[in-house]
Amino acid sequence: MIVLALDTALSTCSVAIIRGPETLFDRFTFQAKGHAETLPPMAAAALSETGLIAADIDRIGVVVGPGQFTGVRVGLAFARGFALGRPNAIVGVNSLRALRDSAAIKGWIAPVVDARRGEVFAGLYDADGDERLQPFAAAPDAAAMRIAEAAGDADAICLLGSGAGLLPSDARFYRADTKSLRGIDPVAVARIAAEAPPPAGPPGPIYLRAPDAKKSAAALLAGAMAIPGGIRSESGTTDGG
Amino acid sequence: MSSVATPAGGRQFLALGIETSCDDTAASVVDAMFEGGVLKSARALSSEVWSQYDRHAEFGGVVPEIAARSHVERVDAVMSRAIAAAGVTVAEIDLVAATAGPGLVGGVMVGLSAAKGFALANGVPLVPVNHLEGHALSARLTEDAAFPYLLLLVSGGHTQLIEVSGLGAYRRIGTTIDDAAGEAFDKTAKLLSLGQPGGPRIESAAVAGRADRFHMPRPLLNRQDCDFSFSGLKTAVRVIVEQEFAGGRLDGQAIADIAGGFQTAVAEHLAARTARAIANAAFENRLLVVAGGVAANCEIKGALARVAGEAGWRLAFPPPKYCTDNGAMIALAGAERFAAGLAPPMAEALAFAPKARWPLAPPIVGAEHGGGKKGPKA
Repeated sequence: MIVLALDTALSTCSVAIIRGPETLFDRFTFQAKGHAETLPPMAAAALSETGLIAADIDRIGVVVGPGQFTGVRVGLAFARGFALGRPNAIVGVNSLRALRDSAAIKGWIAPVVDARRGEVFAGLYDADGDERLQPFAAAPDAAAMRIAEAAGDADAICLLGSGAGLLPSDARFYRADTKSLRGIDPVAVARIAAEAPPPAGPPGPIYLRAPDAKKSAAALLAGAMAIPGGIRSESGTTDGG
Repeated sequence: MSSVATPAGGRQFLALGIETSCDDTAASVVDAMFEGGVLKSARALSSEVWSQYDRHAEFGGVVPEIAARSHVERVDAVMSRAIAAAGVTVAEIDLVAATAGPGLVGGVMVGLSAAKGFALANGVPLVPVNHLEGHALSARLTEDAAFPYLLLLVSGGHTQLIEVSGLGAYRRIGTTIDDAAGEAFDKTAKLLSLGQPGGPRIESAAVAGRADRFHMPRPLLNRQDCDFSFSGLKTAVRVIVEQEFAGGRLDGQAIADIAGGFQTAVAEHLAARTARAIANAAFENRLLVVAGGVAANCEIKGALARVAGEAGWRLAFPPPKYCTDNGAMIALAGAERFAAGLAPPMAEALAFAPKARWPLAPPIVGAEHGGGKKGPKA
């Protein structure tokens, strides 16, 4: 199986192509912004340098968050455009699982990403790599408590990622050497996608946070007047959206 | 690239256009034929629009983050539907065009990124399109609108008079110094509790109204340029609403009368400034093209038809489905740019940055207007 991996969810942008156990392409940049400008040329380089065409790609693994909303959407929209007409080729990979698999660390791992506004995105994986806590958003104190609780009688938990330093100390927590981990490794993303069961449809983003918007008083009163949405078709096909 | 060479030595393209700059997720396939890089005929084979109105309604306006989330949810489905509804396949598409700005950048980024993925996977050219150029060319989908022409662009975000002398050759001769016309409709509808979208809501309310019951100002009467202003009208509406409400007279009839008075004032203002631009027009081709969502308003259409008729000009405006945001105008603009050799090379297109602000034409020297910290939106 040939897998194309795309990641723009955190402060990096990366692309990889693997064929079975073999890594054919692996590129990576550090950047907090500008993913929409960097990812497509990087993916173009991946195809041209490997001599592959889109039809050769059996699966596309794309990191769908939690992370920066804009970056998550860039990766997902690019993947959806790339795989147009074959939505079952796209596998969504969660950023915390991807971070965990990117680190060559054994034992319990809690990936923690700085979500800003006084929160972190966090999750927990046991020594076998099984997910013990699904990705969640919480204040650092609350996140530390949830992780410690869910880790049961584990001896040590490695905190990993940009938010690791935000969590309060706990006797069992230790922090990975961040120099050895540059962020999400696209090859790890590709492997997760390769091992995933066949997807039933295109993945959606993982935001873990509601959009910033206040309902207007007038709108609350006029709620019943909302116009129902739907795809308006000028070309003979309609549905209710 | 599978564009067809036509017997006359021309080229025919099937262009996929994607539009995600505000609260409509839209895509379309346009069949366009060119000779010597010049458009000979164009036809939209499909035009799919997924409206997000219901998602923003409870917030009283378009929420950028909700718009961006909605676009990414549906952009590929809307693209697929546009291709299927056109009766073609992905492999038959010759080029993809996407709005690259101006607009809500989170949404623009979604459509542009999907277009980049599509272009790379299918080995077709990608043309990043200025949304305003899409509007400027939209009449060419259905009307006889050869260059040059005078363009009145009236939408939710823009109100401009532009001399269109050719593809990519635009000279701005007037713009709004405050709100856009569509924005004024939306804000007035809000003041009158008519709901959104403001344009159609005010137009229906005004049907039962008397436009002359309340006095509405006629902006910029003493200015010799072709600029527009709508904030005074909005203020006038607010003052009248407050007075009528305080007097216990703000009933359905009063709302209809205010809506009618406002609509007439907007129509007359647009017509008066356009008449001035027509009088000053430097080209022989007597054609006025109107584009943008506000052009769907019947009273405005009527007022513009009157000033065009008085000057002996022809008036062309696209049907309402191509006045409001749509993918067909983006597909057409992309095809025109590509055929004329004005599209960026692939490497540049793949790295193209979405732009929140992207003026179609530079401001008139000496008459640059404000409009926020970063200058006017367009």
